[in-house]
Amino acid sequence: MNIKLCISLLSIIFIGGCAGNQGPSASDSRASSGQSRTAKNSNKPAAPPQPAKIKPAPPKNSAAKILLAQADTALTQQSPAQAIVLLERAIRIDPREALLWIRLSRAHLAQGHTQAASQHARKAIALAGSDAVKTGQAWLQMADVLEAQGERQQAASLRRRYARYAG
Amino acid sequence: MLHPSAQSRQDGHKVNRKIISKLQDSYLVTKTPASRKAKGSGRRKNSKSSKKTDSWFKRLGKWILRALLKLMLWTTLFATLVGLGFGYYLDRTITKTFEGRRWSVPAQVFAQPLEIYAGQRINKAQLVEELGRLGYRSDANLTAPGSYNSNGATLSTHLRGFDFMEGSRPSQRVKISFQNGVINRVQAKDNSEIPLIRLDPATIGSFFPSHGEDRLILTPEQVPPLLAEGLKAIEDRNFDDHRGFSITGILRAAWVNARSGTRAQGGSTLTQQLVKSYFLTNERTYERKLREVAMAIILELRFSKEDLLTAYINEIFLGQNGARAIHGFGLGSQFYFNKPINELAVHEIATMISIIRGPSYYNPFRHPERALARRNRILDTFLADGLISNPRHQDAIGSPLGVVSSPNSGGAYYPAFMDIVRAELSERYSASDLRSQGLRIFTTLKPREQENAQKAVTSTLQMIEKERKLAQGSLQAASVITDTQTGEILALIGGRKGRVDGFNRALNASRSVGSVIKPVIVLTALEAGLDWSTLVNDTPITMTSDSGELWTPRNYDGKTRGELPMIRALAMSLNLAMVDLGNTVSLGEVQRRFTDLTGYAPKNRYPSFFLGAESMSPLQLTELYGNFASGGFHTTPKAVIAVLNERGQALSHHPFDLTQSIRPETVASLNRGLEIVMSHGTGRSSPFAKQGVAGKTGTSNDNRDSWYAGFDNSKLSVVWVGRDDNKSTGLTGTSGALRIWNNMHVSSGVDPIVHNPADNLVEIEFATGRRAAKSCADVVVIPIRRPDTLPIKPGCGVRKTFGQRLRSIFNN
Repeated sequence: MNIKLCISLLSIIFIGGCAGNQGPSASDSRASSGQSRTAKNSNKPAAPPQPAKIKPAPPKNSAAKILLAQADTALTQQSPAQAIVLLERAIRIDPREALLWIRLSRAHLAQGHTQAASQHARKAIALAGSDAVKTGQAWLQMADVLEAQGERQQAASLRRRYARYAG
Repeated sequence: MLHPSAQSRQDGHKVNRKIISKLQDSYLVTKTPASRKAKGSGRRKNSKSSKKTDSWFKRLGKWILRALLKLMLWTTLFATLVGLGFGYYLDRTITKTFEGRRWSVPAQVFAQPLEIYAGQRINKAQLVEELGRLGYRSDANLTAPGSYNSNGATLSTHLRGFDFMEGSRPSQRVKISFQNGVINRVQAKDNSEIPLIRLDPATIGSFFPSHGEDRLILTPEQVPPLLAEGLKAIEDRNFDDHRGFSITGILRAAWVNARSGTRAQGGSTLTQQLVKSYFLTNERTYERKLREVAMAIILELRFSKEDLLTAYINEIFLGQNGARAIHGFGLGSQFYFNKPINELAVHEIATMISIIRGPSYYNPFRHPERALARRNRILDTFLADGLISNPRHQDAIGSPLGVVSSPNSGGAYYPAFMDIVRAELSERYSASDLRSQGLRIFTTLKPREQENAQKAVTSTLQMIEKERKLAQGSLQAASVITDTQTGEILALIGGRKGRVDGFNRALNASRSVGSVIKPVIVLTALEAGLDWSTLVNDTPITMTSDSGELWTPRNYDGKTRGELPMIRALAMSLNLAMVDLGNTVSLGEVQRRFTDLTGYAPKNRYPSFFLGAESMSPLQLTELYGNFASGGFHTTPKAVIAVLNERGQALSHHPFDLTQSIRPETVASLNRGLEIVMSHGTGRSSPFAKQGVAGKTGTSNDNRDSWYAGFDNSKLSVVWVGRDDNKSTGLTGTSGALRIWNNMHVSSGVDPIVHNPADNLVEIEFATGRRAAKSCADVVVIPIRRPDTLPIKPGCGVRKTFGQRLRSIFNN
C-alpha cells in the first residue's frame, strides 16, 4: 500500500512537472528561449557590458527589400505617412515578412496610432516564427508601443528580455 | 381732274395726315403732362365749338385710338422687360450649366497595378495578357507609350506614364527577361537595372450620375489635333467663323427637309449640337430650333471656340452600354478601342467621328459594315481637306475597324467589385462627391484574379448543368477572394455573368452556410482545452427547445459512427458528432466566439446553429475565415486603398486594419485540422487536397446551398453555388462550390501553407484518435497538447513513454 502511494506521489510530481513545461504559449516559449540564450552569453567570462547589435535578415524578396529601405528613409525624414504607403505596398508583395510589419508598426507609432501599432507588432510576432532575431525585434517594437500606451513596466520587462536583439 | 387712283392716294394722304396729327395729339396728351396743361386751355376755348362740330363718333374713335396706342406701348415695354429677363435667365442657366458640366467629373476607380521586379512569378504569356488587358498593342519599334514587343525570352514595353499615389511615373521603355516562369531581370533603355517598377493600373469603372452618363474628361491639350480638325471637317465646316449658328446650314437643311417632306436634316453647328445635348430634347420642332439657336449664340458670346470644342468632345453621346451612357471621346476611346485617346490611329479617330451621326445606327459592334462605310467616307474627307497624307489615307482605308470584340470586353469592367467599393466609400463620401469631384480611387482588385475566378465560375456552372441535365442558367454562384494576411479583396464575383450589372450575390445573397460553420465549434473546443483526439459521440440525439419543439439532427448519409476523435468529426463533417461537441462546449460559448470573429451576433439562437442554420453572405463568411487564414487576426475585407482628389492629393488612406482574435498556437492547430479536412475528409476529391491547402465544405438543407471556404498561403477563397429561387440544386459543397475553387487554381496551382515549426505535432490514427506511427495506415499528423495521455494503437511500433507506463500502473 505504502509503495503504491509513493509511486502515485512520484507520478503526480512528474506529470505536474511536464504540465508546467507545456503551459506557456509558443510566443512565450520563444521568449524563454531568448532568455536562456541571454543567460548563456552572460556566463561567458569577458563579455562586453553592452549587447552586440544584431541585424535581422533582410526580406528575401528584392522588391520588398527596396521598399523597406525607402520606408526607412521616410521614417528617418519624419514622414511616417509616406512610410506607411511604402510598407503597405511592400506587404502586398511579401505579406509574410515580419520585418515589414515591424516597420509598419513603427510608422503607425510615429503617427500616434498606438492601437494599429500594437496590432501590427503582434502580427510581426506571429509571422516571425522560428527567426529569433525577428521575434526579438518584434517584441522590442511591442515594448515601444506599450511604453507609448503608458505600460512602462511591461515595456521595461520586454526590453530586458530581448535586449540582445536591439538593432 | 385727277385720276381715280391719284384721287384715292390723295385721300389716303389726307387720312394719314389726320392719323399722324391725332397720334401727335395723343402722344402729347399721353407723354407730356406740361403740354397737356397748355393744350388744355386751348382745348377748353374750342370746346364749345368742338362739341358742336365733333360728333360722338369721332370722339369715340379718338378714344379708341389713344387706348390702342397706350396698349401698344405698354405691351412693348412689357415684352422688352420679359425678353430681357428671359435672356438674362437663359444666359445664367446656360453659363451655369456649361461651367458645371465642364467640371463635373465622375470618380475614376483603378485596380492594383502589377508590380514588375526580378523574382516576380509571372511568365511572358501572362504578362502579355496583362498588357493586352490594359490596351497595349504589339509594336516592334515601341514608338509610343502603350506598346510592347515580345522577342524570345524577353519582352520590351513602352510603359504609359501614370500618376500613382506616391507620385508621377513618366512613360518609359523597359526590357523584361524571363526564366522558368519568373522575371529574372528588368532593365531600362540604357540597360541599367530597374529594381522595381509597375504597370499602369487598369481603370475598372467610374461613379457616373444616376442618369447614367459616364465620361472621361479630356483637357484641350489631350485632344489629338486630328480629332479636333476632323470633327470640324465632318460636323461643322464653318465652326471657326460662325457665331453659334449657320444660316447656310439651316437653309440647306430646310431645303432638304422641304424636298423630302420630312425633317430629315438638322443643319446644326457643333455649338448647336452641344446646346441640344446639354439643354434640349431630341424633338424636331421649329420652336426647339429657335431656342437652340438662341442658346448657341449665348454660348458663343460667353465662351471661346476652344472651350466649346473641348466641351463638345467631352459631352457628345457615343453609345449605350446597359444603364451606362458613353459620353465623350475620352471614354469612347476606352470603350471602343480599350486605349487612351492619344493612342488612337487615324482610322480609329475616323471611326469614332462616324459614330456621332447615329450611335445606334453606326454602332460598330452591331453594324460594322455601316460603320466601316461611313468611316471610309470620313477618311476620304480627311484626305480631301489635307488633314492626312495620301499614304496615311491608304493605310487607314486598308485597316479594319479595330474595335474590341464586344462591349465591355475592352479594358476592365467589374460591376460586382464596384459595388463593394461604392459601399465602402459611402461611409466617407457623398454620392455627389463621387459623381462630380473627379476623385481617383485606388483599389485592391487584381484583374488577373478577377478574370480567372469569373472564368472558373462560368465554365464550372455550365459543366455541372450539362452533367446533371439541369436547365442551362439555372445555377448561380458567388465568390470572394482575399489576401490571407491583409484581408484585401483581390476578386469579387457577384454572379455567373461577370460584366453585367445586377444582383450581387457575394454581398447580398444571405444563405444558410451549412457545415462551413463547424470550425467555430472546433475552435471553441480547442480553446476550452479539448484536443483533436478528444472523443465525441456520433450517435442519435434529440434536443428540445424552450418552446418545446423537438430537433433531431441527422448525418448527411443517415448513418451513425459512435465514438470518434474530433478531427474525424470535423473532416467528415459529421453532424451528430459536431452537435455533441457543440453541446460539450455550450452553444453560448460557440456563439460568443462567432461574434468575436465576425463582429456581429448570430441570428439563430438554437442548437441548429451548430450545423450552419445561419444565413450569411459570401462576404461575411470571408470575414469569418479571414481569422483562420491570417493566423488569428480579424480583418474586415476591404476594397479601397486610397482616395485622391483630382490634383493628386490624398483625401483618405485606408490602411490595413487588423485585430488579433485567436492565439497563434490555437489557430495554427485549427488550420492543421482544416488541412486534414482537405487531405482526408470532404475535400479529398480536390486535386490540390494534399498540396498544403486548408478548407471546409458546406451544404445546407435539401442541397439548396453549396459552400466552400478555403485558403492556401496567400489567398482565401469563399465560393457559394445555389439557385436564386432557393430551390434544391442537388449539389453538396464538394460537388458544387469546391469544383469551382478547383478550377480557379487549375492554371496557377496553389501556394502551399507554410507552417511555423511546432513541437507538439503527433501522429494519430484518423479513425480512432489513438497514437500511431507513420508506418501505420490512415495516420494524420496534428498538434496534440498532451500526447503522453493518448492511447496507443497496437502493432504500430509506438512504445509507451515512462509517464504512460506509470499512469497505467496507477490506473490499475
